[in-house]
Amino acid sequence: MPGIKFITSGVSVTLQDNGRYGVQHLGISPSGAIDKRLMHTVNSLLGNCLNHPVLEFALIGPALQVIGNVKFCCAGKFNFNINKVDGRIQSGTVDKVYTAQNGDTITFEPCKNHTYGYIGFAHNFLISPDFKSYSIDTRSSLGPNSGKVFQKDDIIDLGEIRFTNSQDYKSVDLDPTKVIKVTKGPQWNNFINREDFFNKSFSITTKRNRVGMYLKGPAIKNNMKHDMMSEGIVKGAIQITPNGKTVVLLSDHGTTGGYPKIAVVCDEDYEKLAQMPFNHQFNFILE
Amino acid sequence: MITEVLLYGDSGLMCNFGNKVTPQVNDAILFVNNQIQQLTGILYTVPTYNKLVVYFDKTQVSTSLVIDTIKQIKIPANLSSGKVHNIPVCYDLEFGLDLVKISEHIGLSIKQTVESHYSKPLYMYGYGFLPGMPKYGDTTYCAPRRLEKPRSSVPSGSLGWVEYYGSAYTKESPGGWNIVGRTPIQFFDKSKQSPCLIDPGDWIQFYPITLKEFYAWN
Repeated sequence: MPGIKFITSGVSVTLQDNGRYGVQHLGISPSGAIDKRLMHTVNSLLGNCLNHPVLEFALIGPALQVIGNVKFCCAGKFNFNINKVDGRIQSGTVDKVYTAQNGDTITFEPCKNHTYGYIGFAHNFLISPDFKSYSIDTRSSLGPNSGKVFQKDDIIDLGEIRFTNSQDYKSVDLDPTKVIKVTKGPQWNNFINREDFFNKSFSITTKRNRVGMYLKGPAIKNNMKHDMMSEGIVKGAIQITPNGKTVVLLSDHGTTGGYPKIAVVCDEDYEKLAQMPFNHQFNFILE
Repeated sequence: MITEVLLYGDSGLMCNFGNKVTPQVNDAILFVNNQIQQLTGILYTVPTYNKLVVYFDKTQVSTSLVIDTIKQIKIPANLSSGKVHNIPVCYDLEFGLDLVKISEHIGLSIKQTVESHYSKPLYMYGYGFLPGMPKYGDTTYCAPRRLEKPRSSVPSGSLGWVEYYGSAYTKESPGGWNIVGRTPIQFFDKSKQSPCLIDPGDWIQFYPITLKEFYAWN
C-alpha cells in the first residue's frame, strides 16, 4: 500500500480541503486550504476533484519518503528534489506531475517571497474525516492526525494511484501585490482615524498562523466605551484589538469574536494577502 | 424583528436584530437561522445573541436572493421554549479560579455568589469560539469583565462568567473568561450523531456537587 513518511516535519504541515462548512453554528471553524487557487491547481493537474485534500505547508515543506509509487504535484513558489534510492537527484518544479518510486525522498527548498505551498496526490487518503472534511484544525483539534500538525516519523497511508488525466486550470500570479481591496466592516462607523487605515501602509509580521495575521501599521482607534457582544466572523475580517493592533482573520478563525471589525478583505484578494511574505508592505483600498 | 441586513465581506451578511439581548430575540434569530440554512448555496450561519451572520457561495446563490429570502422569513409570535438540562458543577475553589474576585465584585459572600449562579435556569444563546462551547445567560448578578490578561490555559470543563453571561470550555484552551467552577459533563463529543449536548434555545439548570462527587463522576 502506498504512503508517505515524514523524514522532517516541515513548517505547519496540515492536510486541507475545501473546509468544514455547515457546522459553524456549533462553534466549529471553517478551516480549509488558505490558498484554494493553488489547491485547485494541483488537483486539476492530477485529475482529482478540485477539493481533494492536499498537504499545506508554510515557508518550507517536509522531507517526505515515499512508500510504494506515489504520483504527486506541487504548487506555490519553490523548487524541490526527488532524491532517488540509487543516489540520483531529479529536480522538480511546481505545476508538473511526478511519480516518485518506493524509497525516494522528496525534499523542498524554502518558498521564495511567498508563504504557503501545496502538495497534492493522485491517491485517496486512507483516513477518516471529521464533519465530512479532511482539513486539520489545530485550534479545535479536529480532522485527521488528531487535529495536529504532522511531525517527523508520521506516516500517511494512501490508496493506489488513480490514473486520471490532467484538467485545464487557471494559472495564478503569485507575485505579492501592493494593494489589498476591502469592504467596510460591521463596526466601520466606530473607528475614529479610518483615513489612517488607507493612507498609511501596513506590513506583514512573523506573528501569524492559520487563525490570523497581525499586521504592522498605524494604531487604529475606536470610540466604543463598552465591550462588544461576540458576533459571527467571516474569513478576511479585519479586527482591531483594544490597543489598536490590526489582525486579519484567516481560515481557522473562531466562529465568533468580540473585537470590532473595521473592514473585510475582498474574496479575490484573500489569498494574495495571506500569501504575502514577511516584511512585505502594502496598502488597503476601499472597493 | 430584523432591524438591518448589512453586507459583511463579499460573501457574508450581518443581520441585526436590535440592541436588546433576550431569549425572545434569540429564539427569533434561531428561527431565521434554521430557515435560511435550507437555502441552496448557504455555506454556514452563526447566530449570536442579537445577530446572525450568513455566509454563502456566490457561484450558487446571489447576494440579493439571500437578502430577499432573509427579509421574507415570517417569524412566528410564539416560539416554543426549549428543554431544561440539569448540569452538575463543582464550585470548590480548586476549580472556581475567580470565585473570590467575582464575589467581591458582586458584593456577596462566596456561598451566596455560588447559590445565585445555580438559582435559576439560564438560557442557551448559541455556540462560539470553540466547538460546542455554549454561551448562556442571564445570571442574576453582574460578574466582572473579561480578564485583562487571558489565561494561557483554561482546563476543560471550566465554566466562564463575564457580566451576565456564561460559557463552558469544551476543551483545554487559552481563555479570558472569569472561571466560577467546573463541570464533569462533556458538552461536545465529535463522535456522536448530535455532537452538542445542549441546543441553542434550551435552558441550563446548574446544581452543585462536591469535589468528591466531581472526581467520582465518570
